[in-house]
Formats: sequence, C-alpha cells, structure tokens
Amino acid sequence: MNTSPKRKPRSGDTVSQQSTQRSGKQRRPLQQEEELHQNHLAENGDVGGTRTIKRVTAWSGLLLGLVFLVLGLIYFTDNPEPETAVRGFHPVPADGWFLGNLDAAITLVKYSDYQCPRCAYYHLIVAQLVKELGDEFRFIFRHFPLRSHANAKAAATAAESAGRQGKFWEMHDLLFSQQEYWARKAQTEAFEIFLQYATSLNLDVNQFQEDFTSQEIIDKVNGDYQEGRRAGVRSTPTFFLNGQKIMNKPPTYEGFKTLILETKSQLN
Amino acid sequence: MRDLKRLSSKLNLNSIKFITAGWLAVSLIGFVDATYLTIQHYRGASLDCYVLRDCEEVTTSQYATIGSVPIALLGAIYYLSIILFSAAYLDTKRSRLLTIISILTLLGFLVSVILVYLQIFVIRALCSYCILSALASTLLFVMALVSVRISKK
Repeated sequence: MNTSPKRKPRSGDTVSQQSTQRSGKQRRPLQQEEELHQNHLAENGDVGGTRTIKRVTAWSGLLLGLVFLVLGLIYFTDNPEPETAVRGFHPVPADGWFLGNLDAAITLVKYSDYQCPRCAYYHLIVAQLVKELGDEFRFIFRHFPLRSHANAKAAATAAESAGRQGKFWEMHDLLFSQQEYWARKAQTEAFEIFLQYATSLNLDVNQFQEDFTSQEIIDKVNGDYQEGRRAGVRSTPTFFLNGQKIMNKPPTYEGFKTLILETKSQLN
Repeated sequence: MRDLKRLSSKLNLNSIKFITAGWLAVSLIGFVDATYLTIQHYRGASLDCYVLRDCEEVTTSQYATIGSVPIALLGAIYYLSIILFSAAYLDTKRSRLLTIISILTLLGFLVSVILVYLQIFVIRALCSYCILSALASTLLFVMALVSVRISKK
C-alpha cells in the first residue's frame, strides 16, 4: 500500500498545483485528500515503475492472503489429524449398535448427536435406507454429543440405558422424533422426560435410572466421542462409508441410496 | 495559522488512515467468521460452538438463508468488500472510497440489528459466531461515524 509521506508545496511546482494547495485554506479535509491523491500521482510520476511494482505486489499479497485464508479455513475445519486418524476402521464393536445386514460388505457409520436438528433430519433418511436397502449394508450408530448441546450427552446416556434393557433403537427413534420437545429444556426437566420415555417403552425405570448414572455407560458415550475425534469428526452428523468420511452428504434419501449402490457396484 | 491548519488537516488524515487500518482488521475477523459459517453451511455440518451455545438453532432456522443463499455467504461478501475498499483507500487516498465504506457499514449495521433482533425475540437463541459478526459490523459502523466526524472538521 502507498504510505509515502504527504508532500509540501515546492518551488518547482506548477502554478496550478500551488494554487490548488493554497486554496486548501477554505477547503474541507476530504477535498484536500483528493488533492493529496493527485499530488501522490504527480510526485511519483518519475518513479512510476517502482510504484506500480509496489502496488501490484501489495494487491497480489492481499488477494493471495485472502485466498489462502479461505482455503485454510476449508482445510483446517474439516481435515482429520493425519497422525491420529483411524484408517479403514469401523468393525462392529461387541457393544456397538447396528442395523441392516451384519455380513454386508458395505458399512455406513453415523456419528450423531441427539440434540442436533440435522442429525434428526438424517435419522429419517437412514431409517428409510435401512428399510429399503437393509440387505445391502450395515448401519452403525456412534455417539458424538456436542458440548454446545446441554442435553445431548444425557440423551445419549438415556439411549444406552434403554439399550441395556434391549430397547436402544426404540429410545433412539423416540429421542429423535421428540427432539424439539426436550432439546431446549433444563437438564433436570429433560431427565424427567427421558424417564417418561423409559416408562412409555415399558422399561424397568429403576434399572434405567441406575444405568443412567453408571460409569460404564458414561465411558461408552465418551469413548464413542473420543473415537470420533480421532477419526476426524468435528461436527454432526458425520458419516463414514466403508471407512471413508462422506465429505458432501447427500441431502436426500435418493442421494444416499445412489451412494450406497455405487459403492456396491465398485466392490463387485 | 496556516501551519496550524495544515497540521490539523494532517492529523485528521492520519486518524482516517488509522481508522481504515481498523476497518481492515475488523472486517478480516468478520470475514473469517462468516466464511467459516458459510463453509459449514454448505458442508451440512453442525457447529461446535462455545459461550453462546445455540448456534445450531440459529443456523438451521428459516432466517439463516434467503432463498437458497445463506446469510453467512452474504456476510462474507460484505466483509470482503470492506477489506478491498479499505485497502483501495490506503492505496489511492480517494475520499469517495471512504463514503462507499461508510454507506456499506451503515447497511451492515442495520442488517446486524435485524439479525440480533431475530435471534433474541423470534428464534430465542443466540449463536456466538453470529454475535461476533454483529459486534464486528457494529465496530465497523462506529469507526465509520468517527471517520465522518473527522472528515467534517
């Protein structure tokens, strides 16, 4: 950028330059600035080449800097940490939750937060995929409760506690379908709602409450979260198809179906 | 007397240069903020946000887009234009650029007021990234007011 000092009138100035500067007495600063601009151009006329190079360099630097800034944002807000990323992972763990065909060659993993609206949206797509294409793939659900969602971890714990009594998926569906009702409640109120859901699913509520506070279940939810972080999950929902993160999630059922069928045809 | 006038004018110009550098710095922060929100929008990803933790409610609300265009993208374009106009002023010292920047910051401030109103009274949720952007556009507008005041002296 041009930061050369302001010019004082010189004896060698043209008459028009001098008169312009003198008449500045009555002029407002903005007009004087305009004169300064003209003076800068006149003053630097003899070293125009150097000035042009400086300007081109400064502008190129600024524009390149902005481009790199945007690229950096794209890269660093999504890129998994290479040294810790788990590659080709996702065998179904002994205590993991899955749907579909356990022996299928295609694995779809979803890292999800029960309080996130987009997770609820994709829950409907996955449910339809499992219903229509359940033989073609296995679906694995992992918890990724965002810290910004006050009730997300409790909801994940509630689903796991229901899972202890064989009703993980029932609680899972209920939590997503009723998300708008409990998501914004205070934590104690949300817990009361989860107890009501446990009752409506005919669970042993005392056992449910006991499991809800068990360290084992808390560790499992935390374990899913940590594993997600290591795999490069930064937001929810994040899907992995055969170990590869899906970078641009299809927003429709048809899009996901195409993705799974394409993966299948590539494997054959 | 004339020397005093000239000195005062020089001081004013230096102040305006200082304000322009401030515009550049603040709009850079706003640009990073809005670009991040735009990227996450197109990724369809949720935000891991801090302090004011209702980012999800705000960025997935019906007010987060105009048609299919996310407001965050418009914000990024707005901050980018302030960056470019500020840099152009530092380069050319053309006073017309100051007027353009001042008008833009007024528009940015008015839009921010509307968006903060929507967050508080309609969506009833506050998103830290959005509030950061509102603070940035307010600061840009305040600096524009100061620059206009200096220019009038």
